[in-house]
Amino acid sequence: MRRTASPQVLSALLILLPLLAVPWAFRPYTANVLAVYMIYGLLAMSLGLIWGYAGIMSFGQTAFFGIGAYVYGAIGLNLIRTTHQTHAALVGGLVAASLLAAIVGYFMFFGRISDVYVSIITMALTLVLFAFAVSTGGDEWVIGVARFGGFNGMFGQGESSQNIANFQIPPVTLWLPGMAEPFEFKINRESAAGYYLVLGVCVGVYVLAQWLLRTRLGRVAIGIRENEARVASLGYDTRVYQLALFAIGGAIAGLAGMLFAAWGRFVNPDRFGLAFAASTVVYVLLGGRTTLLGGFVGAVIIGYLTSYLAEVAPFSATAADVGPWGAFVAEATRRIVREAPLLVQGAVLVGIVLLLEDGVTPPLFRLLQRYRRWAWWLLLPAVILYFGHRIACQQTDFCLF
Amino acid sequence: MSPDTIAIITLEVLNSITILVLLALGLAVIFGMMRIVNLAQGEFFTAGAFTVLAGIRYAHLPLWLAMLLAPFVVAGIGIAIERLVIRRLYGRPLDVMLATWGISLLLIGLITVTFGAVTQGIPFALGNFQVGRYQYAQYRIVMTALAAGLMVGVYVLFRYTAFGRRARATIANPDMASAMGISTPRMFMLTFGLGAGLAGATGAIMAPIVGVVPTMGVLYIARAFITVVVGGPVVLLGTLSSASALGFIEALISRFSLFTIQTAGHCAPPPCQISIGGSAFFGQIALLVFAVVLLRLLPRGISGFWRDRQ
Repeated sequence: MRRTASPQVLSALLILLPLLAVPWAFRPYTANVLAVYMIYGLLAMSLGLIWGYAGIMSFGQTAFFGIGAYVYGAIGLNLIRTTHQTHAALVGGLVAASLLAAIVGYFMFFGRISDVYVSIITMALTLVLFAFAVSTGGDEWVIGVARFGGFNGMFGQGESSQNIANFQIPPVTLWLPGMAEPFEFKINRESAAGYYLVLGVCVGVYVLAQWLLRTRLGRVAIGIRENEARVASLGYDTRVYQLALFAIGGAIAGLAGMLFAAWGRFVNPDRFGLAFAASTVVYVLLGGRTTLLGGFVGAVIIGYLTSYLAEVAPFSATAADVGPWGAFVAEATRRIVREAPLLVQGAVLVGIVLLLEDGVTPPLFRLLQRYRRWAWWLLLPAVILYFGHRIACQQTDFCLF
Repeated sequence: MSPDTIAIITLEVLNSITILVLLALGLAVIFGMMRIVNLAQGEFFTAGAFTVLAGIRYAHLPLWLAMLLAPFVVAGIGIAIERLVIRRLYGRPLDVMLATWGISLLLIGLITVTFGAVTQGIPFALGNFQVGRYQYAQYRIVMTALAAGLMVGVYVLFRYTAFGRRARATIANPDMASAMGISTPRMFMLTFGLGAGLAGATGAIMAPIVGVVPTMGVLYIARAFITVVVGGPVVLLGTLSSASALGFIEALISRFSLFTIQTAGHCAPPPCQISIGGSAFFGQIALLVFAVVLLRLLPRGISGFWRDRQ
């Protein structure tokens, strides 16, 4: 029994141990950045669930992400001043995202719209929401103290906004009966609660989704992906199953959106934009659409790449005395680096479709499976040693190198 | 409503239909006929508009010549993309969609690298004419004429020429067409190039009335797809009829939403300018909702509905 489970246990350990150790092993900045990649990873997981397992190619998971973020922001901003917690905002965001997914899904699946049209309609949905969010700049777009703010994004207004913290969407704040004071999930020098909240939600959603795929719903969904006509002829109403899974995917995307709004304490129309929608698909494609974890891995890889480029780019200035051609090359490089996220995403999309259909996670997992003995006895101890040393170094200044 | 208001609303509806026809025309060939979900279509518009911009700004061509050049430039880009990428992916519709999306992002990035991310206007020769109390741009009437001309041109091309017959044969049954001595890869390439060129023409025609910016294609791609999808299997006539229905809805709802904004005191200065663009997002939302509901009722689109009735 242990033999069959061992690669899964091993990969879980290899992923979870470092993620658990990060707030202790690095500066708070690293935990903060990693948290947002994990949030994107959660969004990608929602796409992986409906695309990889039910064959529903949604370009518009960002629509549900954005709705979750905006609704959380609108309710949270109003709620935090009076009740000092955000319980209703969490519920509201989740309900809004699932409801939107259910309504759109109803029209798509009960209209028997084929797979390619589903992509187009979901994409149109997120673009329309983008246009809508952009056009909410005026004074009439205010709910209580929450201003939609058009391009500038959502913020609070009113007399208590003298304090900058009151401008912003509140972090996830709990105040359950029996607690002396509200508890805020933040990521800073004192606390990594926000990071562990994101990690916990990701693990929870992953476990839930794995369970879901083993139930009747999941098995029928996989059947639909393989051969819709055959599943239908066996007497299943495929539309209901597709709709259910699509709504669940929307709810997960909305959850990610709420975490995002609470993480950055901010949301703007870019969350509905095409670039963000594209990056979600890129995460899943790069990581691999045949596993749930794929999107998560893709998000962390791309996130690392883009933040690396963003850190390097501004400092790559060249000397002034290089002549016209040198100046031209320098200017061209600067512009290319500035557009790097788009260019990288585009190139990754085309490249993966043409060359590497399954993404990177399945080959990595096969590698791990083949060399699992080595991984157990060498890789895992190496990872533990590395992070143990980092923690010692960060917490007690005990550094070997 | 006074007669001049009715006249101006009619003109707006006509203009809305014109824009949808222009947007959908190239896609009707590439997506409607060839079944290629080309998400880079929006960037073909953008490329057409930027050809005009580059032509008048850097090569100092007259506007009409730059506009005439645009379809050929974009057709060239389209043919290159077909040869390099799409050719390898026939029969894998989802992968085509993803690859063309990648191409779309790459094109946006490359155009931004070349021209910068600013919105640029194209100077504009024709003036306005008077409709009662309102002013209306003459160029919008020219646009309608051009759209009608392109539509008829494409119809004649596919219906009555040797190229059109070969292209339709290739799309209907590639194996049989190839057995009859038609070079099917060449036909696919040329047909794709034609669709790209039509999109380039659309970009060039629309360039003077919209801001030319590298991300402009994104604004139109969804409407173009919706129009073709609602049009259904009889591609050209279906597209025309769905553009008419959707354009009618869009223009009326835009107009209606503009009225409500006006009475709320947010419209300045009176008499209100009629805008068919940025502020018309209510119209676009109505278009999307109408299209989704229509597809729920007529899953095979408008022209599919005619066919089923026969």
